[in-house]
Amino acid sequence: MVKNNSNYDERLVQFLNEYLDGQLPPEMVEKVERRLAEDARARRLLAEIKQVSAIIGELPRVPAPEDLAEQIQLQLERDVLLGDRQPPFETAPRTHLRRRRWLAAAAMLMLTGAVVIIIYSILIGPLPPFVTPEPQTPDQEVAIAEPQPQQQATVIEPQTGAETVPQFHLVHLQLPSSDLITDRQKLENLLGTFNIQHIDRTHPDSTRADFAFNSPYDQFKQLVNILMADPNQDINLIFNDDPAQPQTIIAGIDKTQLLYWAGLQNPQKRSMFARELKSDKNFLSNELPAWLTEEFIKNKLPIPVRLLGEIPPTALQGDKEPNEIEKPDIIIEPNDIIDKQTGVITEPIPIMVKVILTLQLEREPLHEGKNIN
Amino acid sequence: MKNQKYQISSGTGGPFVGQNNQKDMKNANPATTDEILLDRCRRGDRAAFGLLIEKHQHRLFNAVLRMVNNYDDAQELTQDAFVRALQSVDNFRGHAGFYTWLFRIGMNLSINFRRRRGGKVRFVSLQQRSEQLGRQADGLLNLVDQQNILPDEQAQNREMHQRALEALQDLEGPSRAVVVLRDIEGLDYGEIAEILELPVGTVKSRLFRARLALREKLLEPEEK
Repeated sequence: MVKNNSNYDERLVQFLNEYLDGQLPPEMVEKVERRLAEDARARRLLAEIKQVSAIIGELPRVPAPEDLAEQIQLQLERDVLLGDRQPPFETAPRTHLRRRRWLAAAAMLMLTGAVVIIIYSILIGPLPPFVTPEPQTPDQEVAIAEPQPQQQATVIEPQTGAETVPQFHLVHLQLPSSDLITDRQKLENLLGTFNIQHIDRTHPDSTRADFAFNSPYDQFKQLVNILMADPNQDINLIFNDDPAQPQTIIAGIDKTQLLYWAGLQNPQKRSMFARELKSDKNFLSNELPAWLTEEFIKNKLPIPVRLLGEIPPTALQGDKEPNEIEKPDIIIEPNDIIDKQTGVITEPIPIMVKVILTLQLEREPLHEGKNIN
Repeated sequence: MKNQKYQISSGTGGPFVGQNNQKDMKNANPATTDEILLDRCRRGDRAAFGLLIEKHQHRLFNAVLRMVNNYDDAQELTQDAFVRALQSVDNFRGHAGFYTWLFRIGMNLSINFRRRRGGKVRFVSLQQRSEQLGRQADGLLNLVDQQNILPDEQAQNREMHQRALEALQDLEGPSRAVVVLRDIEGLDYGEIAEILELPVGTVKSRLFRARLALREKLLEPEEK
């Protein structure tokens, strides 16, 4: 018979455990009790096991945080916003959603701006009825959900008349980081500077942090300008143009490409754009494809009137007048849209960008050691 | 623009409770079973899931806390367990009880969490650490108050609890789970086997080995 390190018979120890826990079959109870009556060491061992069990059992019961249910709700909404999960409780047909969207937005504005961001994004995102995704392992990176095709640039509400629905375009950027704590603070400061209310999530393995927020296109453009002002900061685009495929990362996307990507709303065109980007890293650096401008025009979106790219420093030293010098940035100017049939001039459609910034730790922490929890 | 069906989570009933659902909660039959609530969940009733959370959150949280020994990690894992349960509620066929199923998710998350994090330094701010310890200390103080224990005994109990927590963390995750489910949750071997998806014999052997290991750490030499 195998003995444990205290010279006790393993079977005896196991029987004593079962006896203590009331899990021993009745026919064995009598045998164990007989052994206990005869064997002082067995009695002592039983007392010790009982004492150990009691010590563990008497550890204080710590109640769940008071806001646990609220946090679960926020996590559900955050996961939907970050594209990790489908909304679990949304079963209404899509035709009802516009009214819901406005009612939700109005109410949320009175509460907090942060909640507005979450609710708005949920309502804009894909809404299949109560879909149950496959269980995910922590290591599986789930592709960010692409927005559903927008049906129309403007939406006519039967009861209230015409109204404009902002267009949302998902842009998921990966910012490689060698110091997640510092970079996270910088990013929070930057978003604070823009007064952008965001939600964030640090993954349990502490190798990445996601920031999600909605931003007007112009604001997003300024943000991109700042992010890309640091030549040492690579910015990678993450997208998933084919749901059957894992997500794709385009490393080192440039500003021009990024701003056009943010403006594209048609999924097919986004796929075209993505294919071009994958095949040619210098896509858009020379000329603008006609289909791209046509797409902006067709969707009545503010048209990029000039695409100039970076200006060589020598261009600023020539004989051109200052107003002739092309500025080193894309200029996107909202155009008034004229309905060809009615001649009515309408305001340009506001563009909102649904942004996810993922800080991704480039390497494992230097200090490997004991867990210090 | 009004849509009477749309409800925004708010009010005292918690985030899963809309106006109608708050009414539902007030009128809820105390004997409402998990199965009925789950059925309502499947039909998109978020108040039902709120009730399930309310019913099981404290037990699950406490068990997860004893698995990971970190308040914030326990909160995150408990949240995740409920979210995963909700997301896969359609797949739940009721062969086991909801409690068993929920604890299976929570225990697996806790075991895998420790495995993933094993060997890596975790940075915890001093303030956060202090708050965490404070919360646990509050729990101890409450217990002491309830039991009217003398100050000397309080100190001894604190020390013993600290040693017990440390000894628990030294166990392998699967063994720790068996001890937590048996000695803290009070489940029988069959229930533990069902939650951990192990044969009952494995549960027995893990439990007695784990208790022997705890005995080595918790009892003074003269006691052994």
